[in-house]
Amino acid sequence: MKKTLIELKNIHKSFGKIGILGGIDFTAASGTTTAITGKSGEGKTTLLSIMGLLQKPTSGGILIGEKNVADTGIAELSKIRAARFGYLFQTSRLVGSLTVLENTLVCAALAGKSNMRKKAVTILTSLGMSKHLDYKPEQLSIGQMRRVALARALVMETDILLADEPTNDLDPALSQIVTSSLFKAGENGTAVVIVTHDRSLAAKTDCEYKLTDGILHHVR
Amino acid sequence: MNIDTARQLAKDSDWFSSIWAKAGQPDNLISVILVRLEEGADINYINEYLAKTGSIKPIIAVDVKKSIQSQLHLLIQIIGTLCFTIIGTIILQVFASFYLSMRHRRSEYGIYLALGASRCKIYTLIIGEAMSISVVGGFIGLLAGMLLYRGSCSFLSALRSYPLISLSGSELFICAVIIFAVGVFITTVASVLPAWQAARLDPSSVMTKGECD
Repeated sequence: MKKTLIELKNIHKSFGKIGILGGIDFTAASGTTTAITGKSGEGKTTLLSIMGLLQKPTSGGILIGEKNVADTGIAELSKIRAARFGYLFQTSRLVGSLTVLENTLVCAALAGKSNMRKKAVTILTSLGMSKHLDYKPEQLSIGQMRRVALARALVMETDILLADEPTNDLDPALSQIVTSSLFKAGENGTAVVIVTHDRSLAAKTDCEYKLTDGILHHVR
Repeated sequence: MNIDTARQLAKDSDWFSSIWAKAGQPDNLISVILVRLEEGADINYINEYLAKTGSIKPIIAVDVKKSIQSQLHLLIQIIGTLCFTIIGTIILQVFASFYLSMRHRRSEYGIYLALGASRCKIYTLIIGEAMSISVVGGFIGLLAGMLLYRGSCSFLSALRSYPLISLSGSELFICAVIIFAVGVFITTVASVLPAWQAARLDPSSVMTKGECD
């Protein structure tokens, strides 16, 4: 039986008087891939950042495992993020002063794991980055940076992996690499949540939702 | 001008011939008289008396000494003010450079926060980095400063016409330790505000920025 890893209960989010999310209920279980689609400006990225504990909802509950973390302190949230979440942001968000390998190992370093180098090299090699381990991000193309960001998200094998527009601006070949890596993570037990405009990617997921007017509609 | 030359010139001058006719030849003409006073003598009375003669300009050694001392005090005050201004400027510069560095690397800290770094970790990272820079920089700076000081001292000692006071090895070491400690302290203090601000960045900002930072 698949275990529920993250659950959102009646999440509301507003910025001042502007309501963005108006009562979102959502669950993601281990080993599943979920797509969230919707028009630009509907609040998909906001929803993903609330799901990823990067910002707090105006109201509502967030259950990670059994624990409601909606009112948890910042320090505890940081620990949960480091231990349980992998992120693939809309843009690569690499640290410019670090090499490819160091960027890949950032999450491991923050979680206090020092023996992840071999694994990071393996993942980077599988993504075709073995010759660029000592490169700085400024020496890489956008496609290569996205692969490093993907490696960083995958290296810790976290419970939950959140990907924001992972195939945006990528050529078909690279898009295929990113997609297959995300689905492989799902097969390995990670709950993968993907925010995307890419219809073909959304169609491959186990479950699809559409965000419209601040409400999440179950598509399939 | 040599006093003998002055006497000869005065003797040969038509301007003073009437004076020499009255008072005798200026073979023993003098330029300066040192008046040594006994303890308790009224210096002001003697000064006024000498001034009344019209041909003598009294110079009081105590006043000269006081004047030199007050000028030295003024000089020391100017140098002291300059030193404090320079130290203040250095502190501001160190502060500004660390603050700007933090602003420049704001997004980097945002990424760390988003990926699970605690505020404490960010704080430690920035303060630790500042301390490392100040320790290494301070060590190199002091070493270079000491070499320059020693070099200057040996260069000046060859040219000096006055006694040169140079610090002994132990005094130099104590100075170096104090400067080092003050430097590390200033750098650490200068990085506290940037660290505090960086640790309070909104991690969700990472969702909406560029490719790398």
